[in-house]
Amino acid sequence: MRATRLLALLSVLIGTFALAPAAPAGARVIRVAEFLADCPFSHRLPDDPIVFPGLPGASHMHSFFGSRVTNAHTTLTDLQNGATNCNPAVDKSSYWVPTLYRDGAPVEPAIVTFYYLGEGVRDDVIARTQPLPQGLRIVAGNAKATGTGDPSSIARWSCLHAGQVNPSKDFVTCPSGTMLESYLDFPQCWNGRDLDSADHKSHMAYPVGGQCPSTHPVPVPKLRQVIRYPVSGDPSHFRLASGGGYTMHGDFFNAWPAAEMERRVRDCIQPIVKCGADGRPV
Amino acid sequence: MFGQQAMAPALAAAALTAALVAVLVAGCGGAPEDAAAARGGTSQGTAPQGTAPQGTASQGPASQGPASQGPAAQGPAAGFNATDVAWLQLADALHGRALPMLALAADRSEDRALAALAGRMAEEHEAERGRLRTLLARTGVDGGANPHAGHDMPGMPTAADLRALERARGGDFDRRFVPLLRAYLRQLVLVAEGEQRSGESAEARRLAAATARAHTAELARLPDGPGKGAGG
Repeated sequence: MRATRLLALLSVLIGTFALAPAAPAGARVIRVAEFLADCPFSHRLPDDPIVFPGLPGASHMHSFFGSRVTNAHTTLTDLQNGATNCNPAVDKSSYWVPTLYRDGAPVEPAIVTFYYLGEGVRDDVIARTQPLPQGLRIVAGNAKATGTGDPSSIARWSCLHAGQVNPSKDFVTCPSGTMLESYLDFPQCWNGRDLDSADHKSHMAYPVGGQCPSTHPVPVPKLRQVIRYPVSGDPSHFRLASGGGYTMHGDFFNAWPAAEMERRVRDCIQPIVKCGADGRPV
Repeated sequence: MFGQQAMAPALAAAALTAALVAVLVAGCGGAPEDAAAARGGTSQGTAPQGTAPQGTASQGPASQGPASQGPAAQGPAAGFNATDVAWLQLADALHGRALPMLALAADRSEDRALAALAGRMAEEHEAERGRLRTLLARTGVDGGANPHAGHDMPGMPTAADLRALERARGGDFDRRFVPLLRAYLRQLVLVAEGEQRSGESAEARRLAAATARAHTAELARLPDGPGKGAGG
């Protein structure tokens, strides 16, 4: 029978892959400096432990990803001792964004991926990328951006499975059956000293001319937040808790175990090798 | 909370080396981005090539703390923690939005008691804002504009709210004004409670307790009406 033959062929193929030895380092790797964590929606709170620590209810509504415990009082220890929904489960970090609303009702993303990348600086700078320090807090984007013409907005909206729709700093009209998606790149140059700063920004900087500025000399992996929302169509129905699409911003509180972060930087980022959630070459 | 040091000796050495290298290669920037690296983060293969948002690969936006800004801002002065600073800044910003709203009631409200209450509150909240700002200056953090000014936060009347209030008169004004005022006062009470629990400065916590009592009393004096229950 045809189906049986197909099954047999399939099992042989699967067996072949299962028995194949791991590829030796450097062989047939994809030359992209990358590892990632998939961390779905966890919970929603009007809290922000970076901007309003100790003040529950002070913030606009946030959607939290990764750590299941984040609230206004969260510390690094809380994250390390708390549960996570990330793949890999070793990533105890907390990530959050302003909640998206459609006609006043919250919409939570279907797919949330945090890429850690080497790109944005020259290859020789990538080669000396340092691990993101434990407890580091980063805010990217501007919740107070005033419009698409505001240069401080780094929001980028596009459509999953509809590359023909031009990206914009504001919501875009995605064809039916596709998903509205948001890209946000975090700064990747650290001042080498502070885990946070009074304005929550000035301890980090974006690279200039392919390298980190002398004020922020330590290259660290660039966090790229990619969020897919199960909505499409007329953007006039959408708003973020912080305002228009151009106010998209993201917060990151790093609680990766130091050894896991170090291994990924050493094996994936510095040698420019594309890795998966497990931090192994794909 | 901020200003925490995170320097392992090895990292310090790396930072130094990085700084040295950065100085040595300064002026050699502008090399084209590695084409393969530019594809990072698009494993689903659905986004256009070169997915980095415009303007982030080469330089940060103006508000991101430009490289020329120098060392990272300092944490709060001794005796204050991050909650103290966040509360003082947020309460100051809330006052900044509400004071113009309070000033509108005198010649728009048809409720004389409400107009009189708004008038008293305008004076008292102006004085309260002064106390907040005096303490904020002592934290050593507030280097310039309030970070929450110009940002619609919970409890704040928006610019559109204020425009609508300016046009409204009589009962129409009161129906719009009371829910906005209630939301503002409730948010002040809420964040003052957070400060009392999590703040470090005894003086800031005393001020928070006093303002929470005052605003709870103000809430009790607001007229019942269609706006009752709104604002949360």
